[in-house]
This record gives sequence, structure tokens and C-alpha cells, in this order.
Amino acid sequence: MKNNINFMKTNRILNRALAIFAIMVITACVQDDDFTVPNSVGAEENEALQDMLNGNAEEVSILDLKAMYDNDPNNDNYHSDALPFQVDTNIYVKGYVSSSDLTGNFYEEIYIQDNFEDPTAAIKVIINQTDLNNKYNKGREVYINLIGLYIGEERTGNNVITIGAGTETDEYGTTVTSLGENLTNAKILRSSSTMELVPLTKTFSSITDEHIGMFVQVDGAEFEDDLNGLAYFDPIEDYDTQRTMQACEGSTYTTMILETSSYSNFKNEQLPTGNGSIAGIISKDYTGDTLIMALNTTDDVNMTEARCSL
Amino acid sequence: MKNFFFVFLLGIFTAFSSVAQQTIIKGSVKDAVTGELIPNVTITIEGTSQFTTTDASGEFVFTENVPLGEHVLSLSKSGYITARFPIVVNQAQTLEITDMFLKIDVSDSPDLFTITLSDDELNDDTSGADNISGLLSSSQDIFQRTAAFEFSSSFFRVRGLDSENGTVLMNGVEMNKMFNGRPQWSNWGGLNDVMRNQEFTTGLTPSAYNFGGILGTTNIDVRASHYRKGGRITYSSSNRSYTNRLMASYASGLVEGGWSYSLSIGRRWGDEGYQDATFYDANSFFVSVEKKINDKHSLNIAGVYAPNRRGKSSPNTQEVYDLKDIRYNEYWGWHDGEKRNSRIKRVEEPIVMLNHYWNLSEKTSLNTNFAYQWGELSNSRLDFGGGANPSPAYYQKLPSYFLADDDAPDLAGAYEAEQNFINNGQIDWNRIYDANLTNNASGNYAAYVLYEDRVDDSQFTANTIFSSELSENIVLNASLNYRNLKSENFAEIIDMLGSTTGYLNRDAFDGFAFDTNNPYFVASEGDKFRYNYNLFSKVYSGHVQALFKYNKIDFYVAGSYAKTEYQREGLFENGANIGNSFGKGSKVKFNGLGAKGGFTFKITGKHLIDINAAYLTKAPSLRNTFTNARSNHDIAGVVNGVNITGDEITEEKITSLDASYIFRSPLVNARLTGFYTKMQDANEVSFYYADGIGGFEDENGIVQTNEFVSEVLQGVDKKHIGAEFGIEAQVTPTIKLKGAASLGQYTYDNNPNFYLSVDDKVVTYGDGTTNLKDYKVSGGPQQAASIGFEYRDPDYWWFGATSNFFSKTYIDVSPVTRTSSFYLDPTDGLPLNDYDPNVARELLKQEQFDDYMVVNLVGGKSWKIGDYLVGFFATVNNLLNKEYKSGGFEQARNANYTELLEDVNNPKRLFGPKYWYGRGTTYFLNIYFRF
Repeated sequence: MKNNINFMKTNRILNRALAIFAIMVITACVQDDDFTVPNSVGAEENEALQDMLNGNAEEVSILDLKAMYDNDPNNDNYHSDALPFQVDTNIYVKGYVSSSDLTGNFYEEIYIQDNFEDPTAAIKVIINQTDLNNKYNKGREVYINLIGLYIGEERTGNNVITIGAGTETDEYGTTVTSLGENLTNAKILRSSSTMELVPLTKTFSSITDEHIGMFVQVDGAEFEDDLNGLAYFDPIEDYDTQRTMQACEGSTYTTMILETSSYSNFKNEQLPTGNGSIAGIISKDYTGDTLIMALNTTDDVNMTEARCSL
Repeated sequence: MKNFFFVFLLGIFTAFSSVAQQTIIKGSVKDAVTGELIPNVTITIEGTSQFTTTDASGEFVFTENVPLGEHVLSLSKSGYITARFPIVVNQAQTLEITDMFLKIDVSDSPDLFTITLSDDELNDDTSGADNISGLLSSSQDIFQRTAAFEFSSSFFRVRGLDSENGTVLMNGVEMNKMFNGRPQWSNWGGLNDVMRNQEFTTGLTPSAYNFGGILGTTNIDVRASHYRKGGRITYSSSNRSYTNRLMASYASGLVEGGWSYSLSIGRRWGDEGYQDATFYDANSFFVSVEKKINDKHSLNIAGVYAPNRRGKSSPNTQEVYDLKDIRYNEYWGWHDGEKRNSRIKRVEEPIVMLNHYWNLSEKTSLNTNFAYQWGELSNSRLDFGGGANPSPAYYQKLPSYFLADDDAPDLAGAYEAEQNFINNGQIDWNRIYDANLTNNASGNYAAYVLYEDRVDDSQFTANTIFSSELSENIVLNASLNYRNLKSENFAEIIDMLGSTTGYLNRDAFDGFAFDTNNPYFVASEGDKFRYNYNLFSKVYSGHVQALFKYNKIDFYVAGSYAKTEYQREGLFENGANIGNSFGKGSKVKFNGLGAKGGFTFKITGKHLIDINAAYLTKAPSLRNTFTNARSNHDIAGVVNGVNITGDEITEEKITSLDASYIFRSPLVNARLTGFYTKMQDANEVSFYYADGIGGFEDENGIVQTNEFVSEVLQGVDKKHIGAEFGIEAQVTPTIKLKGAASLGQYTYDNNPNFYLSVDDKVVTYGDGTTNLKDYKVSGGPQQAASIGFEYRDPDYWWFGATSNFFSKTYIDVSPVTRTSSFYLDPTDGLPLNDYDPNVARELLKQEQFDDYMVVNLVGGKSWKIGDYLVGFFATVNNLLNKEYKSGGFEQARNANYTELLEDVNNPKRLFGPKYWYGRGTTYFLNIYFRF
């Protein structure tokens, strides 16, 4: 009899113990592996954008924004005395990203143009971050909340008007500095819209400083004869390689320089030898004297026709 | 003549009578609480060399050379308090004792070590930290028990030796992994109650199972018939690595038909351990079934499966620790309100084995085992082929980076960085997903993916262990062993992080294909990418050992031989290693020989001298043989089929000597040991991700980022010398005082060959060697001491405390800065203009961490309720919450004098060393119920 009771006691205790065990196993959940896209992605940025659009901020055109900075204050062609303009009113611009740093040809910078087709003005923004293409992708509609930011140049007098966060001065003049992480997240706000950019068709001779920052296409272009067999980048160079392109316009060649960075991943590709279209961002070379074109990607190069001949 | 004949007859008659009327001691041993007979208890007749063990029925017998008169039987078994029973033996009589009882040692808590042990495996990529305490916890020696329980959380290494020098066996089958030679404790984690039967032989002393390494051998006995009948349920609570643990086990003992079985299941879990976001999720299963076929044969089948997952934590620079705290972990970030750790370690490697026990005779046995282990070992991490480095503690995100600006310290930037880091400082999962979603819209490949580095091993082991008592003084042991491993290594994407476009299987920085057989492969979740190769390893080994036991002296001699064969098979043709990557590489073969011997001389019963010596040659582990297995077939010293160091890969040589004085008395036990170990011709291959490492500029001078670098040291010599001391004194029946200390000096003893190997290039510095001679070996404190006491109350409660002192822990130095290129200008190879040897000496001084003291407490109580035993015990580690560095390594970023001096002179160093800190105050509470 006593044995039976003992057995039953064991059984009851065992049962209780097993029950507790089971409960603990079932309720003892820890981080599992099933994660999906977080719900909060983009929420903060959307909110900031809505706040700005619904608030007191006024939109200005990129053209008007650029005019706020005067890089020749005394009209004497002397740029070292130019001072970046600090925006002190509650204004913003809207634009579409025209450049992409995916291939490495651009670095810590984006260009935005005021329309995804037939742009009339474009401006540069310098940001202290790499791989900007996975945030400010080409064709993305962005709004820039300008109050507190500076409009100026990275090299005084080169006419590549740039939005920056601060200024620094050396013997050559006062230039703008990059936006850091906090400022970028607060000021450069994306909408959810990405548009297919339609390149602005121009000829080499009709491209001027007003096209700086725009996504421009030139048809009937080819690389100079003596570049046959060379790559986009010349290994002797440290930073950028300039390759001259030409187009047959009437009885002469018109030319323009294509500039390729040593950091680009297509730098060792052979220059095409045919004739066709090429599209890229218009900018200036390092000295600021010469207009150049820089590629987003070699996919924008279609030189498969026969070369034009004069 | 007549006298002689008479004496002769007398002699025969006496001999006859001694055969006919034996003096016999026999009996049984029972559990003090349950009354059950206990198998496998070691019974020694003190003062003699006589010992035996109780069989499965708890019974024993001494029949030969039984000493007469008053003696003491000493009974011991792991898990029980050793007991002594006085006996009187009369000639030609049978002495039967059936009322000897052993009490469960409730303070026997291997649980203490298991927590700090398997759960504290640090990032295998960068640290050499590992733990040996599991090897030692079952030891009866006070020094080793102290090393196991008190020193383990400081990553103390016995004699400075890596755990690959110790062997862990389960039922005679070796458990050390062939990859790095170390036992993988997490393979049987959470099964403490059924892994308690451990037999440990220390250092070189002969084991019944194998030749062993120089650190000793532990055999975990999981034979079903050796378990005490009964069950046990344990619940534990802690704040170390897991927060909760539940284990249940039951053993049947020997039942009808000669069967016995033992089962255990368990679970360990926790949202967060001591470091942030270190979640823990583990289940454990164990089964062992034995059938006693007859008196001669017995067959045992055992299975162990302990799948576990845990979140890892990061080593950090001092700047990061100062901005945050010692719980900071850079590997996690918020994901919709939940802490998501990006670096998860997952181990799922079941083991099954079949053991056959054959008693050929009373004196001879043959144990044959077959074991098979398979499964997955994975470590997850983020890859960022199209995005910025997601690490929140990336050097470019910290204040030091802004303060080190070339022009002038960027104070505004530094302040912003500091505030960002303090207020956040974790992975931005939203940004990562946003980047991939943006790339989806652009039609570009994923910027980020989450993947795991996988090692899927299938290993088959077969061995046979022979043991024979050739005479009453001589025991012969021998074994034959065969191990065959196929190790599949690859990276696999586990989460596309929102991307629908896929991830290009090409190197994002150099642009070459990871597999030129499939050069534009776009990988998705579940696809193998980056690298894919197999390693094959076969080891044939055997040993012979003879033990001689006499009254005054015991001695032994043993020899071993091992033939090892490795081969790599590439399944990807790496674009930067074409011709040296795909298909089977050459076989690498090694021959290992070992010889050891020693003796124990008993000056008196109380004073003993023990001396051991060994010389072994052994094959380097897989890890230390293949220098860049992810990309190519290269082995240490060889690049692209060509030897570049001038030295062929060779076996490692180890010379080991130790001498001990042992004092044993009923009240006081003490041991003093001096040891000397010299290791030569070893290889050390370690891996890390370089970010801007010097020497890896491409042709444009652009320093490569995120390269996976192999750092190869070939022909390393090390010298470890020192002394160990342990003493325990039962000053009153209830109070025991104990003390232990280890004083050592472990140094590099030569200037080994050194080079770095990356995907497509090898970088050598100076003359190809690095000046490591006399630098201290890193890895735990080289000096440790402990004093403490234990109080056991007759009312079944107990309490103990120890004070532990640690000093001489050294940082792991970077070999890059100890080469002759340190003071040479890289452009012209001439000494740098501004080189100042005094400054250099300061820069290259090896950092020694601060000394520190840690106080530990332990205590518990048990109650007997009817037939059941209920109890608890708790430990508190680091009672005084002392903050201390337990390890660290110099970053390899600054390659020469100019760069290093510049970094050190920055307001805050950018590339300072990374450290691990020991845990603050932690507790562990165990509640158990035995039936």
C-alpha cells in the first residue's frame, strides 16, 4: 500500500515537473530567424518631408538658388574674395538626382536637376558618405530643406555651384564643405518617386556652364583617332584621365573631354572605336577651366556606328 | 638434506594453503540517500597499489595480494564525496562489507564551468581565446579544480597551453575537432547531469584510453550501465550567457535482461546575456542504451544532439568602451522595436556512437568504438558589396576620426559623431533595408545581404582500445584509431534584406569573379557564394603504453604514431587564383611520433615525487595548414605552388618536462610542480577583415577595404616555463582552506616566417620574418593565485568564497609592426629620416593589462524529503564588480613607424587595440530535484 502511494506521489510530481517543463519550453522564445522588411523603413524621412511641405517653407527654383551665390563679387574676374551664401530663409528646392556613384566615377557627391526631362538648371550637393546611389538613386525625386546650408563652390570660380554644410578658407578663397550624416538625413529628403531620366540632347558646341550637373546626351560622337586601343583610364595618371571626344559638326570637329576617375570600376574598359551617342553629367575639370562630361556608367555609351569622317 | 626436504614440503604446503584459503575482501557500495548500488566506484586499499572498481551491480572484490591487518578502503567516484572505511583483514578469511555508503557531492558543480566555457566562445575569426576548464573540472587535484572553477572566466590557460593540447573523449572516442584541434564543448552543452562521469588524467600521466596531448585527457563516460539509477530535474537562472536553463534526466540502472538506459533533455535560453543582444537558444537531447549480452560482452549505443544558437558580442577599442560601457556590442541594431543581432553562431552537430566492451578475461579487455558526427556550424555576418560599412563602430564614424583630420581637428564633426554614437551607436537595419529597396527601384543588385560562413563536417571514427593486466604490477594499454573527416566549407546567403534583384557573386572591390566557372552568377537566399571548398582529413594512429606499479615506485613508458593526410578540393575557381583554386589540390602528409615516460616515487605514504617527460611531433591542424583555403590550395610557406619562405611545412615538435612534489595526509593535501614546455615549428594562421590594412594598396595607392586577410606565421617556437602550487587543508571537520597559484612565463622563442595572404596577392615585410622573440604569448593571465575556504555544515548546507588575483595578461601583438619594414621607407627601402629607436621602443612595447582581483562566492543547501533530494546552489562571480580586460589584440592597420606614431599622436587613436572585458558581477542559481 505504502509503495503504491509512493509511486503515485512520484507520478504526480513527475507529471507536474513535466508540465512545468513543457510550459517553459513553449513560452521560452528568443530571437528567431524570421525577419521581414521593417515597417518603420522610411517613416522618419516621410514625416520630415511632409512637415516641410505642409509648413512655412517656400519652394525656389534651382536657377534662383544658384543666383544667390555670387562668385565674382567685384566683377573683376577675381574669385578668391567670393563668399558662399548661407541660406537664412525657410526655402527648399526640388530636383531629380542625375548622377550615380555606383561605378565609382562620382564620390561623395550628387547632382540634381530641376526636371527629369528637359531640365533647365542643375546643382551639386556634397555629402560625406559613400555609396550614395543606394539612397539618392538616379532619377529619385529629392527635396532639399535649405535653411542653414551654404551655396558656393568647391573651387572658387569653376561655376560648379554646390550646396554644402559649412565653409573653409585657404589662400585660394572660401569654399563649401560636405554635409555630415545628421544634416543629410535632416535636409535631403526623398519622396517615394523615382523617374526615368530623359537625357537632354545637345551638341558638343552647345554645351555651356548652364548645363553643369545635367544628364546630357550627345549623338554622333566618337573618341579621337589617336585613342584607338586605349582604356577609359590611363594608369600613369593619379586621379582622373581626360579623353577627348569629337563629333562631326559640318566641316569641323567639335570636341569635349570625357573625364574618368581612377576609382571607377569601368576604368580598364576599352574606349569604343565607333560613332554613336554618349550620355553623362556635365561638370568642370579639376582646375575649373574646362567643361567635361563624366559617365554614370558605360551603359550610357552606344558608339557602334561607323565613325564620321570629315 | 632432510631439513631441506621438510622446508620444501612446508613451502609447498603453505603455497597450497594460500591458494586454497584465499584472503578476500568483497562487498558493495550504496548511495547514502537512495540506497541504490553504485557502479564504477574506485576502491583503493590505502598505502598499497591495490585498487578496483565496482561493477554494474555495485559490487567489488579483491582476491590477490590482499594485505593483512588494519587498512583503510578509500572510495571515490565523480559526483560523490570521497569516503574512507577502516577495515581489518585476517588471513585466509573473506571480509564482506555491504554497508559502505557514498554521499552525493552537492557542491560538485561542473555547471559552474560549463557556463563560462562553451558559451563564452569568442569570435573565432580574431581571437585565440578558448577555455580549458571543461577538461579539468572533474579533477580531484585542488590546483586544477581552482583553474576550472575560479580562473576560467579570466581565460586562464593551464601552463599557457591552448586547449588543443588536451584531449576530450566520449566513451573512448576523441571529440577534438580536426579543424583546430580543440574540443567543441557546445556539441554536448546543456547535458551536464549526464556528462558528470568524467575521468581525468593530468598532463603527461598515462591515460587508459590514449596517448594524449601534454595537457591531459578527459574521458566522459556515457555508458548507460554506469549511471546511478534515478532521475533529476534541474532549473537554473543566470545572467551570464543564458538566463534560464531546464534539464531533466533519468537513468534506469541495470534492469531485467541486462538492459540499461539513460536519457536527458534540456533547454537553455535567454533574450540577453551579460553583453547586449547576446540571446541564447539551445536545446539538448541525450540517449544511451546498453545491453549486457553476457559476462564478457556488452554493447552500448549513445546519441548526443545539442543544437544551439546565440548572438555574439564584439571586441571594442578603448574609445568605444569609454563612450559606451563594457556591455556594448556593435553587432546588433533595432529592427521594428526588437534587438536584432547580425552575428549569430549556430551549432547543430549530432553524434552517434556504438561501443563494444569485451572482457576477454578478468584481466584483459578490448573496447571497440564506432562513432559518426555530422551537421552544421555557422557564423552569420553582413556583407556590403554595394553599400557603406554597416558597422556602427567603424573607425570613420567615431570622434577620433574627426579629431585626426589632416587639416585641423574637426571639432564639430567629432562632437556630432560622439553624440550620435552615445545616443545610438548600433546597426541601422532600416538604412540597410532602404538601400536594398532603393536598389530594387534602380534595378541594381543588393547593397547588403546577411550570410553565414558554414562548416558542415561529417566525421567517422573507429577505434579499439586494449587493456591488459600482464601481472599484478604491470598493465599494458594499446589502441588503434582511424578518423576520416569531410569538411564542407562555404558561404550561404540567409537573408536578402529586402532585395529582389539578387547579389552578384563577384568581389566588389577588385571586380574578379569568386567562381570563374559561373562568373556572373546572381545569388539569392539559400545560394552558396564567395567561396566553396571541401577539406578532407584522414588520421591513422596508434599507441602502446606500459604501466608499472610497485610499492615504492610507479613508472610508465608510452609511444605513439600518427599518420595524417590532408587535401583540399575547391568547388569554385576563384578569379584571383586561377589554376590554384578549383579541383583537388595536392595531398599534404605528416607523420607524428610521440614518446613519453615518467615515474612517481613514494618517499613515504605522505611524500611523493612525480616526474614526467615527453617528446612529440604532431601534424599541424587543418586551420594551421591551409593558409587561404577560401581562395586557393596554398599551405603554410607556399604560395601558388611555390615555396616563398624557404621552409617546408613540417610537424610541430613539443618537448615537455614536469616535476612535482606531492604531500598527502588526511588533513592536508598539497602539490608543487615545476614545468617546462618547448614548442617548435608550429604554424599560426589567423584570419581577419582588414579595413585599410597597410600593404594592400592597389596600383593606384588606394588602400583596399574589407579584404579577408590570412595572417601566416610559420615555424613559430614558444617556450613556457613556470610553477604551479595547490594546497587544501581540512582544518576542522567542517572548514577547508584552499589555495592555488600558477606563476609562469610564456614567450615566443624565435623570429618566425611571416606573411599576409589575400585573394590575389601575398605581402611580405622586410626579410620575411617578424621579430617576435621574447614577446609574451597572449591568452589569459600568466600569473594567477587563489585563496579561499569551504564550509560544509552537517545539516547539508555549505558555503565558500575565494579571492582570486590575476596578473601578467598580455595583448596579442601584431606581427606586421615587428618586421624590419617598420623602420624602412616603403618607397626607397632606406631607414626613415625621423626614426627614433627610443620612440620606436615605446611604440612597440607589448601592452600588459592591469592586475585585478575577483571575488567569487558559492553556497547551497539540500534537503532530503522521503526518498527525494531537493536542493539549490548559487554562485556569484566577481562580487566586487571589478572591470578588467580579459584579452585584446593590436589592430594591423598601421604598418610602419610613421603611420603608427601619427596614430598614437592623434587626440584619440583611430586604430587602437581592441579589447574584451571580463563580465561584471554575475550570478548562477541552480535548483534541483533528485528522485
